[in-house]
Amino acid sequence: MMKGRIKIISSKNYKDIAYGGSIAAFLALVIYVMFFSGADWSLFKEQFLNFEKMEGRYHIFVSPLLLVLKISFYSCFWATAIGLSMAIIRNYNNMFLNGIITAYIVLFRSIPAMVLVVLVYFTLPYVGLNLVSTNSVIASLSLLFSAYTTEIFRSGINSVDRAQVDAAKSLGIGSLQSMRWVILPQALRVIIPPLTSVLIDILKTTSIAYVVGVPELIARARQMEGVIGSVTPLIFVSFLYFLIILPVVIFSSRLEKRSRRWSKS
Amino acid sequence: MDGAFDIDEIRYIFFNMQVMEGQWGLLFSGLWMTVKIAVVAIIASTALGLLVSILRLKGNAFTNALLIGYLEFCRATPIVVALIVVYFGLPFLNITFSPFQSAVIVIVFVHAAYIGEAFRSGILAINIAQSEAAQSLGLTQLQTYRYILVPQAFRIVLPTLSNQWTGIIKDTSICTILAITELLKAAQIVAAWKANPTPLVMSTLLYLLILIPLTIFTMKLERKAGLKK
Repeated sequence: MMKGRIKIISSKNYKDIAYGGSIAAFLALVIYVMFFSGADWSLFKEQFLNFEKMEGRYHIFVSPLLLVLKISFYSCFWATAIGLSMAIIRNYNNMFLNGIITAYIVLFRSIPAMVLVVLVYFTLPYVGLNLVSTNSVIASLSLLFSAYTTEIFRSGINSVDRAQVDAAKSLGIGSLQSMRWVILPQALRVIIPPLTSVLIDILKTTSIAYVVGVPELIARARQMEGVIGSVTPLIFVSFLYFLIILPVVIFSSRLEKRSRRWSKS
Repeated sequence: MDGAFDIDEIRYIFFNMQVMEGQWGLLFSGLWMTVKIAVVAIIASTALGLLVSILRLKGNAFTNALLIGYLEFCRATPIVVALIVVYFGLPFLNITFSPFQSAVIVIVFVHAAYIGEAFRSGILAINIAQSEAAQSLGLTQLQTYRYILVPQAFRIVLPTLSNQWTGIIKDTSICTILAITELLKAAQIVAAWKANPTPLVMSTLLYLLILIPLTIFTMKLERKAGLKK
């Protein structure tokens, strides 16, 4: 008993064992799945990676791809615009307006994206407000994400030293002007990293447009799936989504790392 | 829109209780399904996330690369796409999951990555002296995590965690694209049948009834955590 406790394994040795062990375990898993689990790989290739059937059909995905980018761009624009203006209004510390904005934030942070999109698209026509499905998605995403951007802008504005604002005031710079020329440029450092993660969320959430019949990537893929009798279009589309979002993800995690370094120093 | 809104008309369209008569049963069974998915997913993804974070902290370069890949994959994959691939794609390979299973699998898989990252940063935020002290007291690695690090990390990551939990409850509504009658789907069924949006409004109110308290709770926790810094 005691012997076991006293026995010293150097930490380097232990790490080597763990390293080798995890690689071996992973390889064993891969080999098992590939050869012994009974999975039918010809079936996998035929159903999931059947690019021969896709030939000559790739152009179909161009317009849905542009549509996805368009929806994300407009939602991002409106979310940023609404968020920024609400953050500036909050900065005036008007009790009444603050209450309204807080209620807005709580409401749109709580409501699921899917529910809002369905609600906007299927209920507004009853009061005579017919939105094109694309626009209803843009409207819902802007409302939803402006709740997040408001908080991001507010915390950015709060991060700027109070003395800067006072100095601007003493120089006779108006409040909006000091916001534009003094506070926002400095707040941007704090604002940009979380803003990119909102951009990622918007890009991901556009896929919800599928339920209200927007002719976007997934809808097209599912149509094509029925035509050619293979899930390959779906795999292709998920790969496309991945391809759009991954650069933003990598960019954003880099920014986050950098901003963490800034806040430490 | 033509003319001014008539309050009676709005009540007739959006809050028509006659439409809801006899339909509450379906709506509440939908709510029950939503709660079931959410509870299972919350428990499983928190447990898996904790496991992922400990693997990240204890692992070597190889497992770290694997887990970072997993995290980036989850960050870059929309849940709708993942759900459709799992539910409509995998049956082509003779792997069939029920709608409930695929909903839970996808939500847990995606959210565990985020929760794992949160736990990792929480555990890293604890002073290194604590685990050194635990080691010098003769606690094993497992005991250190069980009694020293994880309980403290829980308190640190609680704002992020409750945010993720809210996100999980919100994401259950995406499962409406599967053949599963959760709250939103139930409401859509009734709304289509009665040709009136009241069920949709009611289901939204039910969602808000659950989610608004959670959001306020999260915001309070966030504010508290912000003040401590």
